[in-house]
Amino acid sequence: MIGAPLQIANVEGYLLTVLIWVGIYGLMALGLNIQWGQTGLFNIGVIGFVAVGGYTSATLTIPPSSSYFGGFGFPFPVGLVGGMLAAGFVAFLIAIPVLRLREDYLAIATIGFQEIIRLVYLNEEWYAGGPRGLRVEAPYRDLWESALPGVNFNWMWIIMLVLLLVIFYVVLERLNNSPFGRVLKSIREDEDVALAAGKYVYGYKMRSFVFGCMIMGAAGSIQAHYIGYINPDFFWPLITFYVWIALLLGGSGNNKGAILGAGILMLFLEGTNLLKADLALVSSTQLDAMRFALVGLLLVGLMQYRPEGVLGERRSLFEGGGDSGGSADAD
Amino acid sequence: MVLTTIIEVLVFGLIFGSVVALAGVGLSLIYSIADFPNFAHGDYMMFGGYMAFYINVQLGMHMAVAFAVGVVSLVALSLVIDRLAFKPLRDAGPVPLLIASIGVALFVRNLIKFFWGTQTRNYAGDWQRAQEILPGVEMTGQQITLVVVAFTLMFAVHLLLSRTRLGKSMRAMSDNRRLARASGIYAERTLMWTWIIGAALAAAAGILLGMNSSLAPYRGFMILLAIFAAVILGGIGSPYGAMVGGLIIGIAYEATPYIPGLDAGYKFATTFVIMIGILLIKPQGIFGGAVE
Repeated sequence: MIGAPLQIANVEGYLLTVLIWVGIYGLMALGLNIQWGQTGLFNIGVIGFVAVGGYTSATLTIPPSSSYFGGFGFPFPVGLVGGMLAAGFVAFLIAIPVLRLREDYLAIATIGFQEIIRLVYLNEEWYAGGPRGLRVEAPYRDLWESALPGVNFNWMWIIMLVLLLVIFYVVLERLNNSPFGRVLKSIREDEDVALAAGKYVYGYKMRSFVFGCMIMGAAGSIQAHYIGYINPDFFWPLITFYVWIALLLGGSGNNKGAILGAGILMLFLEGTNLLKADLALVSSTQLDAMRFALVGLLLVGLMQYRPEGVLGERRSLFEGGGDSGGSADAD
Repeated sequence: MVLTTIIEVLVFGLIFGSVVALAGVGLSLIYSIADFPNFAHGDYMMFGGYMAFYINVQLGMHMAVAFAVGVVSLVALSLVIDRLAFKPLRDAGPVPLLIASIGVALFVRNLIKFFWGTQTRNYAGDWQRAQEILPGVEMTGQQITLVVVAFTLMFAVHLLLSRTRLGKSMRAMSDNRRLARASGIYAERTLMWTWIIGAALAAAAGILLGMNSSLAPYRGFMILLAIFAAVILGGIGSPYGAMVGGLIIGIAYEATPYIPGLDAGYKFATTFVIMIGILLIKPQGIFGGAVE
């Protein structure tokens, strides 16, 4: 998906593509940030919720057909919101049991659900074509082309992604600095303290988890409509680890960091992808292997040398920043 | 007919289950003694399998030599990785170690891709001739070897844990690390041996998996979740639990196509559902607790 070697004939088009992926991964990382960065919920099933958002949005917007479920022909916003709600609903169902688990069990359980979700989309051919997948139309293309002839259509996606990122960013920052956000952080730092303070920890965790997964669902919806295609191959567990790397790179707990991390990750993946054209020493499979091996090393190195990421995690509640409310949280 | 189907499911479950159990014993020991779930365990298996492929197919040597080299090279790799990747994080708690192990998994998987590409690989040797072991049920020579080797190795682990000083230290470490240290157990040395044993079992499981089906860079990660299922089912830190869990998971895996509404595509999903179920009902597993 981000992989294929590119002939860069069209620099603008290429840069737009990279930026769109930064935006999509940025959304996923923002969703993960409220879960892991703010609440300490170890969700490594990210791509499963992205898949639910994408598939639901596709089903809601494509024209009816007998070869897949529905096809409801709704306009794009219905697909986007529907995708988010579906991702949130699936997250809610999954969360009922798993949120009670210890962090390492939670990790294993979420990765298990992620695979189950992928296997369901792969095997239930009646729903969305199984391995063949669905074709999804990009919205507003005709409108864009008649209003702004000659302007690259991908600018539409940039605008939409920037809008979504800004909206979620503002909401998350508000939450972050609200009493709700402080409870989340107290759960992250020490669940027992939050419990002792009389907080209904499970309920807070639930809201954080569901909201994060809804943002992931939005990312899935955009991804499906942008690519114009959806099938189970877009939802391998590897992508979840990309999102984790993006968040850890930027600094978990930090919403700006999440988006910045997505940018750095794409810069790295695309930068090394560009080398493909010039390196004749190794095959492109080998170069790919080297890139991803480097991603692995990066993850280990991050844990050892800079677990707080580039922008740093704001461990503000109990350490350093004093305990005077959320004042230490301000950027 | 029904009886034959049941026997078939049990026999194939036993075959897949012994691979899962063998890998699970190693994963379980590492989980309880190094204190984190090693997400690179499946990729470790594949590395052992591919090293054996190198000896057996690319150098044309006997499978027994390939087996030995596969085991030794993975043990060496796991010790180097432990020193470079995990040791600096030893006191950071399970989460940084878990994340680092995901990085290690990516690294090892792509090391394999770099040297052997992405296509599936098979070992040389033509012992696919099936023999009838029970009325209507056939096993190939490879499958019989697989089950025998897996059970022999698991028995060896049992002897090691129950009869040797090292085994005692390992059980103590998994029970209570501080207490073990205080009573004079060298934590680092015990940990090193845990990696050696865990990696040796992982390599063996990877090679057996390759013998039974084939090798592919991604297969290790896929099977890892089934192995986690076995480990959690049996109770983390209980090697005997992992053995029983492995067999249950193996049978559930092979029984999946016969469950109404499911087909073979859901084989792995069934194992995850069992895992999630046990996490909810009895997170400490059937045999729960520390290394017994």
